[in-house]
Amino acid sequence: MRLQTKILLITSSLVFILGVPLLWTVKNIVHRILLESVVHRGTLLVHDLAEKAVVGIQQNSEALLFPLLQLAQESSGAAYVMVIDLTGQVIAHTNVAEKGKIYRDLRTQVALKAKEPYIQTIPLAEGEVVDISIPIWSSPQTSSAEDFLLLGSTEETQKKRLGIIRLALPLKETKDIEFRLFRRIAWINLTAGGIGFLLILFFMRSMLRSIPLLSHAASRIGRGEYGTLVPLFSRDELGQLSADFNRMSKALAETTVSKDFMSGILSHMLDPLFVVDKNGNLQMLNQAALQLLGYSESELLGKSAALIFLETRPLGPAKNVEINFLTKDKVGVPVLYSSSPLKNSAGQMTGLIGVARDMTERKRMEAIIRQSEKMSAVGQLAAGVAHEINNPLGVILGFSQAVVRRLKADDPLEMPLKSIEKEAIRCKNLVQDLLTFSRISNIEREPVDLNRAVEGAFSLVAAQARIASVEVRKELGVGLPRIFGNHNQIQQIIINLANNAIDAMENKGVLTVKTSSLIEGPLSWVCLKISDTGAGIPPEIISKIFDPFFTTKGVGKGTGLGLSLVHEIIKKHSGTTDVQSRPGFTEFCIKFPVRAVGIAQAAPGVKP
Amino acid sequence: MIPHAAPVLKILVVDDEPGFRTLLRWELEQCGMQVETAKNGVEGIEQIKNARFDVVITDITMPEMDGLKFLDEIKKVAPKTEVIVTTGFGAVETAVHSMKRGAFDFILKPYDVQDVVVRIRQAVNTIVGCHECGRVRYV
Repeated sequence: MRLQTKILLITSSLVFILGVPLLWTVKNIVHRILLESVVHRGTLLVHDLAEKAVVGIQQNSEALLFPLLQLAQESSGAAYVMVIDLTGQVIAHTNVAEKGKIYRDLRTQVALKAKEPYIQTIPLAEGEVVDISIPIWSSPQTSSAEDFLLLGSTEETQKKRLGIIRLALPLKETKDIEFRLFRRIAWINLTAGGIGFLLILFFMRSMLRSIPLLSHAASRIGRGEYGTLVPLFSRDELGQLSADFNRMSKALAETTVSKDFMSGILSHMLDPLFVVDKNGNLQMLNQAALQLLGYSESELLGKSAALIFLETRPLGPAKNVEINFLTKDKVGVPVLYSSSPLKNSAGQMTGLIGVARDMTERKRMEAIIRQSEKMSAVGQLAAGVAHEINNPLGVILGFSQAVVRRLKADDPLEMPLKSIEKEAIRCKNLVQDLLTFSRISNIEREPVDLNRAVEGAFSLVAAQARIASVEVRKELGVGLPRIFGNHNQIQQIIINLANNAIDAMENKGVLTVKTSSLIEGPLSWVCLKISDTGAGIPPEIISKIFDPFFTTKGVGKGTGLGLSLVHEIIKKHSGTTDVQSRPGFTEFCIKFPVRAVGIAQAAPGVKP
Repeated sequence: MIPHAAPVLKILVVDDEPGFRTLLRWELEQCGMQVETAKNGVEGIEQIKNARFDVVITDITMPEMDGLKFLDEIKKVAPKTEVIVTTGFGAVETAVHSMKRGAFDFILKPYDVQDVVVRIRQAVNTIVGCHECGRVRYV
């Protein structure tokens, strides 16, 4: 129930508790005063009548009494006036029909014996009346009516009771007055109460208006919005409370980091974070942790932390340990893991907070770098070996060629000698590739027009394509900037890639060589694209195609150094290589950076 | 049968690799040439000072005196002697250097010996086919 309602209810009941008895008391007092005045009037009238009725009653003469009674009734407006003798017989009555009746009711009996005026209120059909009866004595009374009323009746021995006279005065008028009074008082009461009610309502509204504001502000602080203030309306206790509240809020804002802020940091932290309670159950996980593990929050909260570790490990402090998390799909994820115990103010351990860094990407990069270094080392080693082999191989090849040339027809040594020559040529090709590989690093560079390099290499490529029945297309961009590099090596790239493409197409298809310039933000590139319509490179080997000695060609067909060589040359030219491949389309896109010197002197456009 | 009209060509082969010396000596002698060998530029110069050679075939990468320096020396001592330079490092720059310094030709190793014979004949401008090689002889 609202405070306002409560106060109003209490006030209303107070008004009710006080007002109703007050009203009642006032009503009773008024009633008594009015009744007394009626009784007083009646008593005086009856006393006067009693003196006048003595003769009539002594003579038992209705004729004497009736006018008396009728006069009294008319003057006083009484309901009835009657004279009753000691036997209870009505001697005279304003209602003629009652004459001669004998009243034996208790009221009459009591009145007949009473020495004092007997007063009673009697409800009649026409309304309540007050019935006053006094005894009629044989001799006239000396004392005045006032003396009688004040001193009471002192029966004198010489007097003889003759009967009683009864007068009934209606209380209707009294009742009316009473009712009017009651109504007015009640009306005043109600009006005052209503005005009071409105006043209380108004004052309370202005007094209590800071309470809902305080409550709202308190709940905002509860949510962590420290620094929330409330307006000050008054200087009373509530105003004081508001001022204190504002002070507290400011102090909280200055001294406490808001919960919102903290939870924002935790949930938006890039590294996975989780909290484990002292029973080893997960209590909290941030967004990054859930994302890494692939669970939803509800799937993990309250569960054992062992669920997310691939290796079982005791929950204790750790610093930069390389471990594996276990995702929902039961896949291990390498992470760099650190944890530290959470302690309460008493220094008891309440749980553990764990942070991890996803190492998947780094591991992958490391593997790539390792592989690249390994391959580079292998390549360099091979090149070194090739250098040493080159001379002896040259001698073997030279002698075999010299001997083969001098073979006579049907010489039984023809086959073995020709085999030696053939294999030596194979070795020679391999060694030449290896030597090129080792020579990439120390080369002379000059501004190179890519289109001119393509044109130069194209005659060779076209010859080979013709043998393999492959169609060649050339789409050269106009006005390419020159690149800084080695003309021969760039031609080597074109020849090697084109040869591969021709081999991939198996006697049908289209080989396309394209050049273009490309601006990517602040960077300017010259692109060389060599595409074919061959079988495509299977996705599982696409990452290996640049490795030295990796080849898909049959034994003796390729050395496995062609693409490796291409890759090395591009690397030495600070270029990038992108390979797209699907069955029916493979494209090598090579981008060479254009240096400032290159932009200044754009090559003359070469029309394809 | 070597005709009288055809003079016997005197060839000096300079290479630090004994295999190449042997190979060229054998092949060129098969073609009727007279062959001397040396294993570096220093030895080669000694021989050139002592005797006249029609053609010198020299490697470039050699200890003591490399091919290019040797080439310069030959041009000083015997300017009429033609020099054919061979190397395992087939860089264009090396070839250009050699030619500028007066070499007659440049052959990349490993070479087909037949090629060397052809170049020698070109150098002396007397294309005489070697019957051993099954070639027609021109005078």
